[in-house]
Amino acid sequence: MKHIKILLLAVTAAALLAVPCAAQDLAFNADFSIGTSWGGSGSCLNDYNNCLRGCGPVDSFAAAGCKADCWVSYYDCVLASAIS
Amino acid sequence: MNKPTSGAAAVVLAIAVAFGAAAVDFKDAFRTRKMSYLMTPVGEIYAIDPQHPLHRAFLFHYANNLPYRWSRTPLGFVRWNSGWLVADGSNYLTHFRDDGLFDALVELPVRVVKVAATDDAVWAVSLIATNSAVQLWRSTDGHSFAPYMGGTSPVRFTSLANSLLILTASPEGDVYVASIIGPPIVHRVWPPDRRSEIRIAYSRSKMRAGMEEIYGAVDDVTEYSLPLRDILPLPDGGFAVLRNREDVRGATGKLELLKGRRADRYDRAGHQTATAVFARSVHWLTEVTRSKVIGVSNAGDVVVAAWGKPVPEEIVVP
Repeated sequence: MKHIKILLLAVTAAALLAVPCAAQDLAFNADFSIGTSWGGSGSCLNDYNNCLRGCGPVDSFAAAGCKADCWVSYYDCVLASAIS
Repeated sequence: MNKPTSGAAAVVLAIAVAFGAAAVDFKDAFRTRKMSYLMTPVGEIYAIDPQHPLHRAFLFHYANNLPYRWSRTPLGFVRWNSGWLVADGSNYLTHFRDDGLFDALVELPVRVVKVAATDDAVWAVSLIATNSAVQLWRSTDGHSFAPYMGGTSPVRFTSLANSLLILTASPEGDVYVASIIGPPIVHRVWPPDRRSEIRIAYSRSKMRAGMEEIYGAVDDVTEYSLPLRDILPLPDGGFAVLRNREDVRGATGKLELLKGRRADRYDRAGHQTATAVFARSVHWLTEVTRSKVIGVSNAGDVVVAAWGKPVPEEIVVP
């Protein structure tokens, strides 16, 4: 029982820690349509769109975080292209 | 080994640093007063200084000496306050001790990919900023970060690409920011009494000069105005800039592409005082003296060039 309580506490704490970032990710995603596939055929955009498909359609905190992670990869790809 | 030679304003020496068969692809560079460091995507740190060639210094690791397991590729790093802070695009910085031993995760209010450090503060670029007022973050203790509002605007960005920034800082306290895609301007954002916008020399085609702003998602950034790839603050209050993607008129009269080949030196007031041309493309500047400038490519090639007469800004027509 004690172990279950500790586990629940840990899960709750992790969830609370994740919320502020996920909330920001959600707001950012909405502001810049991060969750929507973008048109274009460049390799960075292709990778980005493929990445989004792996995040699932649900606009949840988890999906928002996943989509923001896709944006991080896109950022790194565009940066490499700009400075190639 | 980086002995300068005299001559025209051209390249004087190019040294390929051998790393064996495995190609190195450095993700970021960090410069102190005496040393420059480069980081690989697996968290290896290489070092170079005037007395020693580029060499592997250490790997970020756990107490049992096992390599640190990254959940995301490390993209930016600084050495600060007897330790290292590494950014990976998440809302955490990973803190390591001076010898590379993992210490702790530092939670941030925003996702961060790029960090810089002065002697008394750590600076970070938010990857999810929607306007410039929440783009730069500053911390004087390495734990609590607050947005730096100086000279910023809450006007919504036109593109995600507005988060593509160069951010560098000097130990003495100067902090510089410039857009990867945008006009050829360097912003000195700190200290507050020296805040200024400095126009830098950049040669580009008329078409490229007209593509300074991005709207929406970008398919191919290479046609845009991409003025610089690095800024190296200097102890005298000046700085050096490594130009990025330039269009120049070649010997045949046609436009040619120069990528990471020219560096310029600017004095404390922001006046351009010299230009150097590297034999090969470099990604970061690691050292500047009165006579030469040293650059390193992201594959680890160390290239030296001599300072010559300043080559001004130009818009060339095909």
